[in-house]
Amino acid sequence: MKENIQILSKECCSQLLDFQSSEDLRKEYNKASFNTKHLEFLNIPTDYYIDKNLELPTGSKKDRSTADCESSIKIFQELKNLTPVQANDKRLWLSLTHDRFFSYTIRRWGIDSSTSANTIIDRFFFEGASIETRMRNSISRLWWAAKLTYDPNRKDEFELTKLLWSKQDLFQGLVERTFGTYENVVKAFLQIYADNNQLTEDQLRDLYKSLNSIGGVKLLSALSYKEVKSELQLIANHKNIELYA
Amino acid sequence: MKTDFSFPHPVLGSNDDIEGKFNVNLSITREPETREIVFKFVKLDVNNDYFDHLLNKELAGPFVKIYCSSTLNTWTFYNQATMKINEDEIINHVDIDVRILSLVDGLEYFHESFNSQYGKQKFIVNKNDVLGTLDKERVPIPKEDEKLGLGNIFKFKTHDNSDKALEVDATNDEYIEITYPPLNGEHPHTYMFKTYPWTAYNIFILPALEEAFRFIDEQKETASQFKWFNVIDKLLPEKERTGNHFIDAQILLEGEIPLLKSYKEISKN
Repeated sequence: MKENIQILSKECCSQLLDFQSSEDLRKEYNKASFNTKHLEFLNIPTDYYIDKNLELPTGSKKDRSTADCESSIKIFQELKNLTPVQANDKRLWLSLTHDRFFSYTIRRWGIDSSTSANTIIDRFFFEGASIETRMRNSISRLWWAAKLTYDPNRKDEFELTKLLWSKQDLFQGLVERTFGTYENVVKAFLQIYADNNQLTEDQLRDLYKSLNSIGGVKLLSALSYKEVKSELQLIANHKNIELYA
Repeated sequence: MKTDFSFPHPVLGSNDDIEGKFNVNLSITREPETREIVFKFVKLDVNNDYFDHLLNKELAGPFVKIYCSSTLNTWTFYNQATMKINEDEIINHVDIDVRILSLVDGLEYFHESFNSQYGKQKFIVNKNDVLGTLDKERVPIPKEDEKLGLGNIFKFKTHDNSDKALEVDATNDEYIEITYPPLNGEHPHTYMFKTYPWTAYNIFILPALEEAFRFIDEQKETASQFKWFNVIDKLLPEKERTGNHFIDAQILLEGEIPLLKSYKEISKN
């Protein structure tokens, strides 16, 4: 059974963000569920539905990436039709982190009374217009990671999503850079990694850095998928990094 | 444009690499019918003969990169006079980056307009190499009432006891107020909107809209000053209203009427 996701009002989002000046509100972030008396919803049917029984795994320290990957695919499948403009709506992400996935967020990030205000802002809120904002909110990061890597033309549509989550360094190095928003670059980079999973973190870092430098003198977004792969091959040759395929 | 990195060859518009400059004029409009943002390349001005030659011979071409940092979307257009982007893909502002890129591999690249420090050196440039650049420009995107506008015009309040009936007050400027009876401190509408949103819509929103249309009819001048009026008037303009407030409330939402949506959600569950 699907549940309609209710959107918080703008005023409510602002009031929640002021949690540092309200002891009552600050305490809510130490609890297992958020008291709905603090939440004011718009109360109109929205286009967003999520399975009522959907659970997101948090995993243990060891298998956190696997759990994040599973959650990422689940959230994206539920909210597949979200437009990029809707995905920029802070009210949606705050609604999810404060209501439907409040307990997930608490568990995933180990939030308790000692957690800093900045961490609470990063994980529960959606402040700013940067890539980091999208990649910090506990739920939007899951959706965006799948959105940037989902490829319906592959046998496994989430093959690249799984690769992205397979290495924490890959996630930060690739997605949190401007070129991480270029579909051609992300897909070419992940394909290179899929064909060369012997690459070390240092080698991957060399590839990001060099590609970033090339972005200063070439318009990376104008390159085709094949051209990005050729650029990466040239960088690898230059850096004595052996690449297959 | 002053750059903090070096190109491996002279670039028009970068420091004083090359004499002359280039400029573009872009216009941005919103097409309400197709719901698209339209970028029009009004003019590309190049005052360097060599670059004129490269562009005319299609050895080089103008590329426009449009980046929306809010939606993390990038579009790259080559030599297009008009660029259209769906308004669901773009919001707040965009960064526009205009470059002239080489369209061929192995192009011999040199000219007397290059800075004399290059000493008449000949360069070989390849496809996609940047030959000309402009300062990045940040442009605001014209705003329009969002689709969720209806969600911003209702305010829910509780009666002080559960014996009172549901009430609607459309006489306030900002919100149409819906006051409902409480149930042991719980807020039934919140649960209902999550679980049976269209049923809740029939119970809470339809009577509120009906009351709003009645108020508009009876006190048009006053109502037209209200914030909520603009949203309602946009979603169902006066010429499309039937005059029957209850019917107008139902057709305000596009598509199926709420009654059928409510029936479907209840029968499905």
